Amino acid sequence: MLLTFDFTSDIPLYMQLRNQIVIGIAEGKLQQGEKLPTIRALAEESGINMMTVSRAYQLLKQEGYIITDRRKGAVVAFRGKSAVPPDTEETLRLCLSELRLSGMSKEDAIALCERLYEEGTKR
Amino acid sequence: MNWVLWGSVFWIAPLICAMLANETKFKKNIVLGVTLPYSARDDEDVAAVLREFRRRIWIACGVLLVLVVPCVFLKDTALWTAWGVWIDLCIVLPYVPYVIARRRLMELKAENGWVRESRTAVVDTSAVSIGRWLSPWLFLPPVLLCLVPILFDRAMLAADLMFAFLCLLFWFGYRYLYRNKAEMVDENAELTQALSRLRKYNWGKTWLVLSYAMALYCLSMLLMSVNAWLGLAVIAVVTVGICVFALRIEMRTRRMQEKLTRATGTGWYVDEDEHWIGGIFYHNPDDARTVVNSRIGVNSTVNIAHVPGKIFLVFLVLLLLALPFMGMILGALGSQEIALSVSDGAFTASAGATHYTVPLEEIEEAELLPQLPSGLRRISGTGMNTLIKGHFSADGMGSVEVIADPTVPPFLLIRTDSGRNYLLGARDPAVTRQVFEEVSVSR
Repeated sequence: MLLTFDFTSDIPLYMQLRNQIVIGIAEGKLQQGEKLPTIRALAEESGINMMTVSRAYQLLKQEGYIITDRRKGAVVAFRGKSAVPPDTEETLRLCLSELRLSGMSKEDAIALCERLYEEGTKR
Repeated sequence: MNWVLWGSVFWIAPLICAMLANETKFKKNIVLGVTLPYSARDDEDVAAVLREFRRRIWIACGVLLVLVVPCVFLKDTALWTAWGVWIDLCIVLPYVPYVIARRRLMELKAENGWVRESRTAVVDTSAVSIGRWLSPWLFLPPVLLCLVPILFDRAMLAADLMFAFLCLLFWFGYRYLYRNKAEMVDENAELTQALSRLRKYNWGKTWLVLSYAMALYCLSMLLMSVNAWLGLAVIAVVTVGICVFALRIEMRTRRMQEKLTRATGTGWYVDEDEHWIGGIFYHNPDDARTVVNSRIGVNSTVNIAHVPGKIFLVFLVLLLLALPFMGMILGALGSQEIALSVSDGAFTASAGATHYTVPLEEIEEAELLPQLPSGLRRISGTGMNTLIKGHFSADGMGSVEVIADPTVPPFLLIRTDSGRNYLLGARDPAVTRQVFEEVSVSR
């Protein structure tokens, strides 16, 4: 899986990393039990700070997307059905508001959501 | 002397020019420090820029080699100054056509719309930390080999320990002067892994062979005490061997990079041009690392966006600027004043920062030698035509502390009751004789 870090973006680097891993898991690019690079290796590879990578991994661990093991490092965790985190619902609300304000119809917005949802499950 | 001096450096010009000429071949989509798509390889304008660059670089090489001829006949300070200036020219002159050609390629890149959006870092998670590190134990045999001469000659202890330390330093260089970053060219993970393994393997091989070469240097110093010419011959062979080996590794790595990326650059590809000033200096404030890999080949370089990188660059520039003054510096060092005197019940000798004081009651024997002792070898210190000082060893004498002008006999040899030896000689033979008499009378 390719991870891209945009240094000009307003989104913090740790959040960019967290988001890409979440999307990667949803799209099937990262499989359950798959090993993620160690914090040190990923920092070395990308040139971003170790603390930044560590922060993203901690967040992913708290959210249950990965588990960390002293010997294996970080691995993608199985994520079965669970309650939608409150933050996600708020983010979705914001995104839909933005779509409505941009002039998109309800049907088109639902079609867009459907397409993105399918992209995450068909792989 | 002149032929040896110029013979030891004249090859730098064709070597640098050959390395730069080699950059006209596409490797990892990069040519002369510019990342271009696959279609640019058949572009007539690009080909013309590369042809012109190759022509100019070999003209520069010819000019540099012709300059050597009159310099061979220079002497003393003028010789050393010319030597320093010539090496500076060797390093700077070939980069003039390089920078010109690169600028033209960047213009072509913009004109043809080959510029990629950047300020992003892309990581392939399947290629992170590819390739295994060599075991540190592999560096232990050369360290132990460096310590072997101590069993035969205790006088060489300091030099042997220094060589052993250098071998350890090479392990450190191998492990920490390498940016463990995947060699990513495009989305092809297998290609990234192959290029990363290639670089890491050759990097490890280079440092390991260098540490064994250090052990050979150390053993050849022991050999010098038996047969000076044989020892020198081994040193010369090892030096040539190291140069050939390092060049071979670099060129083989480049060749493989060229071969493996022959068909890349059609879809998405990595373009980091904006981080490379003039295609030579890496400047990326978004990259937290100071030591980074060169774009092609096997070497490392520094990120000058950070303070340590800046310091390194300034140090390098100062070193280059200091080279032409080497003749004057060496001249001043070689003519340093040598002071020998007897006062307050002690004998003192000094030259620059080297200073010896021996109480007269500790002197067991003082002898005036008409010539330098046989087999006098420098362990540490200065060994110039007109000044030798520091820690030496000599046949049948072992360790000896020296301050003398080797061209002005006689030499005063002092032995203390604790078994220490001092070999001294002023620039004026009358001073050496006078001090010898004062020491003899005082004892």
